[in-house]
Amino acid sequence: MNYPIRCMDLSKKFRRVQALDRLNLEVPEGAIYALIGANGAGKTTAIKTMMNIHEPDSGSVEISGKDSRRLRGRDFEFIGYVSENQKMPEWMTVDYLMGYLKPFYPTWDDDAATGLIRKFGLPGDRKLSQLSRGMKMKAALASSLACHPKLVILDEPFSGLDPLVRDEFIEGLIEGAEGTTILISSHDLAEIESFASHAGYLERGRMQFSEEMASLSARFREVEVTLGEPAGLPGNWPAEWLQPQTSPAVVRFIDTRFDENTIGERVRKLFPRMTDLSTRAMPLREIFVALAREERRAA
Amino acid sequence: MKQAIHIFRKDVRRLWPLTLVVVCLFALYGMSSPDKGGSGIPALAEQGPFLSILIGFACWSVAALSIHEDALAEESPFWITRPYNRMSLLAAKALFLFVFMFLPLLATGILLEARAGVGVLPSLGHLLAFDIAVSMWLILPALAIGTVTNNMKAFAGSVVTVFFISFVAARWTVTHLDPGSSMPATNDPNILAWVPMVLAAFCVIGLQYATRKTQWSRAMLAVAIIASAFLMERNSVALASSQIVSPPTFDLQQIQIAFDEATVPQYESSLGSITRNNCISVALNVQGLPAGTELRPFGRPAADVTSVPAGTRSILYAVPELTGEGYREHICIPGPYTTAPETLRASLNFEVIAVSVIAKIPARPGTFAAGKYGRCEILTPFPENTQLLCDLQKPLTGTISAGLEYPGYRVYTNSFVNESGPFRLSPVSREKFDGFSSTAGRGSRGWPFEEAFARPDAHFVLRTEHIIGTIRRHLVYRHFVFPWTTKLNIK
Repeated sequence: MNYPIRCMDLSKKFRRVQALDRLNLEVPEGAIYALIGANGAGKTTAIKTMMNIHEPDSGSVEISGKDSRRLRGRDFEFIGYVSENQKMPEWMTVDYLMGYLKPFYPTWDDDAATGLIRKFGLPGDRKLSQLSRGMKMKAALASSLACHPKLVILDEPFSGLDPLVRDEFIEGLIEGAEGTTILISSHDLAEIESFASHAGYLERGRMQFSEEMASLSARFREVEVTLGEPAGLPGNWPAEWLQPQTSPAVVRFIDTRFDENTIGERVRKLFPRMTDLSTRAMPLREIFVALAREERRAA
Repeated sequence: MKQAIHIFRKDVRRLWPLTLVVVCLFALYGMSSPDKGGSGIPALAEQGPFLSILIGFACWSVAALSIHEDALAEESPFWITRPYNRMSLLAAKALFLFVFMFLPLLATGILLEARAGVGVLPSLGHLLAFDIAVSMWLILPALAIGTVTNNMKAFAGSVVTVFFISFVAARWTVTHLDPGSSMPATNDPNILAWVPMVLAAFCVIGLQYATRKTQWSRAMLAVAIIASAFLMERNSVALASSQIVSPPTFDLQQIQIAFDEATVPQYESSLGSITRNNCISVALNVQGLPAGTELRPFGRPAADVTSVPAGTRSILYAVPELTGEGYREHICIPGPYTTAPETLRASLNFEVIAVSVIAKIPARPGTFAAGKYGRCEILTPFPENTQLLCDLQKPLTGTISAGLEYPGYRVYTNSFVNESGPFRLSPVSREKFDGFSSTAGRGSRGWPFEEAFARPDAHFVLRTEHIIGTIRRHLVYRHFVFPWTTKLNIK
């Protein structure tokens, strides 16, 4: 399998802060990869290192097989990058921006550009400085997608956007970048869940897990155990069962290695007086919150 | 190249109002000085500080803004993740600056030469070389600072920092270098001083456009700025030392210089607000200087003033000068001003020069023999632009200076010929001697020709000067009290 993005033992330190700590990450070709993590987890640093905005202290990043440190001009012809912090040329109108960028991209598609502008409802004659934040992000996305990039990297693109604009943004992204490999970092987990194929969870600069969304959803379950009589938590509580909560005759926890075939047996071992066991699939947001809480607790 | 043109066109579209201002300023300069040939900074300086500052400010702004249009510093610019060919980007910026700064500068120079009656073709090579040098001096530092910043606020902050560092480094050099020590020198202290700056600027621009290593670039620039400031003062000292053509026939140490505390200082003017900086002139007592020799200050003086209530304040302007009333030190003393006695301290470097008079010329329009060496002409094509033109046929050594003298007035300048050896004065370009010199008197607008023409006792003196030694003296004025309590609003 091809991996347009590969991070290998990537480390980056800013003075005393270890932003990335031997990060390993592989984004398969064609995947929509959601990079999630709490604030300060290292998502933006990882992305900026991929784009050769930062240089890694150690380890390396390969973008389409090329060391990120050697990414130069023409390498960006097939990469679309949109970031919440990007300083746009505010004096340009939307039309001028698109027209200006066109000669830089050999695969620039005027029809696609026009379609994206229309779809996003962007006023072509308006300067970027006169656009709302959401409109600016859409303009940045349109300018990144009109060249049919092979790889799209989005750093917190939904931040500060209202729900309607988010929907339009995602719709435009999915339609405009069909078949493209996409890496997206975001806190908007509910939105990401609707279209991401893979997810990676970054914690203090290290990748905690990285897997397909389907297997992630299958692996996490909220488990509720009803007991015949009140009982406390046993001492040999499994590490993979997070956030245990007890009420007199009910125990709830999150199983991070859920297996439908073995869960009953494993619970019964700890709670022999179990009378009922129910499990509930968790949305990505709840998984993320549970992991973030666990991270804070551990810290 | 196509990409470079594409970026250039974008920059023109973005920055045309400011570039128009630059072109207009150059045009204004060209139109307003029909008889002052030459171009570049020296000629600009002749237009007075306002136009010079305005042109400098406009050029630096345009240079920085053109770079910031596609900034490479920091992390956020849009363009660093776009398929820009960095060489094309650099070429676009170079083209922009060539079209909107270099060409107007050159065109203005040509216009001025033509209007001064000098053929364009003979002076074109000279103008080109000079304008390239001026462009480097004027624009290159701005470009280098522009490449390591990404907006005008950061740029302005960096420029202020640069000037501050330069000032501190130069000041340190003044107080720690001994004149007369053996140091290599060029004929122009500024040229050697600008070498590290120009080299570093090229390296910084190259490094930024090739690798975008902003922190390295900034460090390199900072080192170059300090080195330039250091070298400027160091070389100024070295230059004076290197130009000693013959050893003095007397002991330089016998020359004593002190503030003349018995003579009341003269109030001259305020520098900006009257409560912030006031300029005075203090008589100097010079002893042990043989006849036929003079003192000429060089380098940047270091001076400060201290009083108990006001504390110690650095003095930015402290220039000694030989006037009609003898040697005087012109000092701009910063506030606050109190009635408490102040202690003035100044470290000054002097060249000791042997002077020989070549000729005395009456101060009135006409043609006069310059002794046995040639002739001089005093022309008055316009009353406000009287010129002294000298055509000296005999080879002379040393530096030529010319001065206007009459009772109470004595100002000499040697700004028009710097190198020793045979020379010829001509009305062409920068060699023209037109009665104005930036070194002719403090804040001077040139010799007061009209006043001189009205006086039968006024005359011009042409002379040669040879440096025979350099000295440094530390002067102290222990009980200086401001005699202008009402003027300075001291209670």
